[in-house]
Amino acid sequence: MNAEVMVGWTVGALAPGFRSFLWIASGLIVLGVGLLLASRRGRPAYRRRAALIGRYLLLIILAMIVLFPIYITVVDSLLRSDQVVSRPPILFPLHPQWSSYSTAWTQGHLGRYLLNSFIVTTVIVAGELVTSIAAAYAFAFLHFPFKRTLFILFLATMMVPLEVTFLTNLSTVVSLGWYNTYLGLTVPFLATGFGAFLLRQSFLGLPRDLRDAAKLDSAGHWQFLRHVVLPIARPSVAALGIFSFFGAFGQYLWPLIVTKDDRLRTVQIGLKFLTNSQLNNFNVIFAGTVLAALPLFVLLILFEKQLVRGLTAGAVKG
Amino acid sequence: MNRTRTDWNRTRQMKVTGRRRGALASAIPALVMTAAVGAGTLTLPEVAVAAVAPPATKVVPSACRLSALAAARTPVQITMWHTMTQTNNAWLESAVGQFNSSQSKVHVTLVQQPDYKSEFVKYKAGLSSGDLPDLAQFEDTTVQQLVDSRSTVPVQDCIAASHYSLSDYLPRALSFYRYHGVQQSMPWAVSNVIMYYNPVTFQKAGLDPNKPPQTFAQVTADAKKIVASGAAKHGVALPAKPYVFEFLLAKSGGQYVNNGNGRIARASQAGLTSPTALKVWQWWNQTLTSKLGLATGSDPNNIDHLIAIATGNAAMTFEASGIIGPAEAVLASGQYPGVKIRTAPLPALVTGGGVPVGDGSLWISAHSSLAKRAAAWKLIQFLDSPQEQASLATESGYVPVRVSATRSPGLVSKWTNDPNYKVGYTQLTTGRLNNANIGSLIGDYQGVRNAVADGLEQMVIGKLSPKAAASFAQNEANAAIQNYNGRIGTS
Repeated sequence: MNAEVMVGWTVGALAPGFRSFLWIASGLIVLGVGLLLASRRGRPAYRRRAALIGRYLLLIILAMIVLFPIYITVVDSLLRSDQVVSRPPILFPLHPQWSSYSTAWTQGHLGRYLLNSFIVTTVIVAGELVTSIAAAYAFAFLHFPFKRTLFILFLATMMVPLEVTFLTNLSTVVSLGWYNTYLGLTVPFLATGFGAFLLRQSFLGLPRDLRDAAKLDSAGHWQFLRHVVLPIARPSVAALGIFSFFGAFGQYLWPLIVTKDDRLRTVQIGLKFLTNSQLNNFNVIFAGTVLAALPLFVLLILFEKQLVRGLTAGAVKG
Repeated sequence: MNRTRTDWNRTRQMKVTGRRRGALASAIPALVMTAAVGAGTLTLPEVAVAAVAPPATKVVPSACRLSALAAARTPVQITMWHTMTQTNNAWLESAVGQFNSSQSKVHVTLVQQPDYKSEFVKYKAGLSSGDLPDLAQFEDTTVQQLVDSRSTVPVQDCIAASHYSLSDYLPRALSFYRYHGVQQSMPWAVSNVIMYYNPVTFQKAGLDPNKPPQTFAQVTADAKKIVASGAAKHGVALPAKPYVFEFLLAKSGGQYVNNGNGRIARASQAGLTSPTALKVWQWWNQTLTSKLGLATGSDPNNIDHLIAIATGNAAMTFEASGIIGPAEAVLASGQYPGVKIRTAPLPALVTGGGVPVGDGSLWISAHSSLAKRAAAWKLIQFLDSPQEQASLATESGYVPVRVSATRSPGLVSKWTNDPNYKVGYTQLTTGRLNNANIGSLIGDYQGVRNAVADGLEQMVIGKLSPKAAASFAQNEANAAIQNYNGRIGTS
C-alpha cells in the first residue's frame, strides 16, 4: 500500500478525534516537563521520583506517537469496512472480524507472495552476511597491496545511488539469462559495500592482541574468525542481518521489473494488487498489510536486543 | 476500479528497495509502512530508446503487415499487459479465452500489472531489458511520452493496412489518442469524471432529485439549500484531485496547457491562470470558505469524498465513472442504510461544454515482429468490437467507445435498469469537440498534476488566495513542462 494513502488516510480518520488527542498529549508533555523541572528542587527522594515519573510520561507519549499507526492498522484490520471509515474513529474492535485475514490471504494469494519474499530474503541475507564477513575480515586483519584503495572503492559503492546502477543491473541480469528467476531477484544484492564497511569497523574494534594470542595457539584465519571474531562481533553481524532482511523484504521496484508473472512476484507487489482489488474493503487491505509486516515484527521481537546493541556498537569504546 | 491515475514522473520518487540502510534505522518504528512500501527512494533514469518505430506522425501501412500473420504456420503467441482488477479482470480473462479458442492464428497471454504507474515504469525498464508486451493498456496521460519514446507502432498503420473503418467510434474517444492526425492507440477501456449525488438528501432539502445542478452557480445554490435544511453537513465534497480539476476545467472550456492543449504544437506552458481557469479556482475556493463544500484529499486512491456521501457529510461529489460499480456494491451491502447514489454529468461554469475521455487505450509495441503486430491488431479489433465493448460496458462503469455497442440488448437493458451507468456515455457524446476537451498532450503529465494538487492544497488550507494558488501551480507546472521539453530537446 502506498505510504501517502496510508498516512493521508490515517490523518483523515483521526481528524475529528485528533484535537482531543493533541490536547491530552500536550497536557501529558507539559506535565512531564514540569515534573522534570520540579525535580531540581525539594528533597532528594522526591526529586528522584519526580524525575522518574516525568521521564516516563514523556516516553509514553513518544511511544504512543510511534506505535499508533501500527496499532490503528491492526484495529482497522479487525473492523468492518464501514466501521473503518466511521467518524469519530473506532479505536478498539469490540467484535473482531477475523474473516478479513482469510480474505486477504486467499484472494490476495499472499501465501505464494510471502513464500517468494521469504526465499528471496533468506538468500539475500545469507549471501550478504557471508560476503560481508569475508570482506570485512580481509580488510581488518589481512595485509595485502592496495588495501586502502580497495576499501575506498568499497565505500564508493555506497555513494552510488541505486538509480545509477538500476538499468545496468537490469541489462546484466537479462544478458545472463536470469530474467524472471530467483537468481535475478537475489544475486544483485548478495554483496554490499555497506555490509563490509559495518563489519570492518566492528572487527577493527577487537584488540590486536587477540589475533596475536590466536596465532600463538596456532589458530589459522578460519579458526580465529569462527572462534574469536564472530562470537565477539555477533551484535554487529546480527544487526547487519536484520537491516539486510528489512531491505530485501521491502523491495518493490526491482522485483516488479525483473519478474514476469505471478510465480515469482513478492509480497510487496502482492500488496499492491490487493490494494487495487479491494479498494473499498479497507479491513482486508489492512489485514494484508499486517500479514505482510508480520515477518518483520517477529524478527524484531526475536532480535531486538542484537539490533539495539548493533546500532550502538562502536558508539562507546570499551 | 481502474481510476488509479498516475504518471511516470513520480517514479522519480518511486518507493523501492530498502537498500539505504541509514534510512532503515529510523524507519523501524514505522514498520508497517516499511513493510508496505519499502524504504528509500529511486529515480529511474530516462530510457534511451533506439528509434525502432517510424515517426509517429507518418502512416506506414507496411509497419503493420497483415500478411505476416496470414503466413504464420503455428499460432502467433502474443502477450498483453493490462491493469484490470477484480470483476473487470475476470471479464477480460473470459473475453480473451473466447478469442483464443475462437481461432487458431493467435494465442494471447494476459499479464496483469499492479496499476498504471507500475506498469509504465516496468514498460520503460523493459525497453532496455527486452521484457515488453506486444500489446499494452496504458492510461491517457502517457500518450505524449509514448509518442516521444518511439517504441510503439501507431495503430493508424494497422488501420490503413486493413482498411479498418473508424466511423462507428465516438470521435472524442479517438481524439485523445491521436497525434497530429495519426491515431496512436485504440480507445478501449475508457471513462470520464461525472457527478455523484445522493437523491435522498436532495429530497430532504426540498430539491428535485431528478434535476441535478448543471452549472457551478446551481451547485452553489443547491448546496446552500442542502446545508440550510440540515439534509447534509456540506453540499458538495471537493476532492483536491488534479484530474477532477482537469475535467471541470475542460467542461468549462479552459485549456489545460497551451498550443491547443498540445495538439497544435508541443505545449510549452500550462493554462492554469487563464480567465476560465481562474474562475474554476475561485468557485472552488468560495465553495470551501463558505462551508458549502468539504475539502477531501488529493491522492488518486483517496475515497474520502465518496465516504462523505455515504456518511451524510456531503450530498454531491465528482469522481470517475469507473467507480459506479464498486460504489453501488458498497451501498447494496447495507453498510450505509438510507443512502442512495445517482450520477449526472459534471457541472461547469457554463452549460454546453464537453469532457475529454480518460483511462485506457491499447498500444502495439514496435519491438514486436510483424506477425505479432498483426496478431495484436487482430486482438484489438476483437476487444473493440461492438459486442465486446457492449459486454465490457455492461460489466463495468467503462464507457463503450462505439455507437453501435449502445444498441446491444444487454447494454440497453443494463442502462434502462440502472441509468447511472449511462451518464458517462451521454456526457462523452454531448458538447462540441474542441481543444479544451480533446484531451491534453503533456510529456510530464504527472508533473503538471502535482503542480495542480500543490496549488489546490495551498488554497484549501487558506494559505494562498485562488489567484495566488493558480499562479503558484502555473509556475510549478511550467517548470515541469519546460524541464521535460528540455530533456528531449524541443524547448
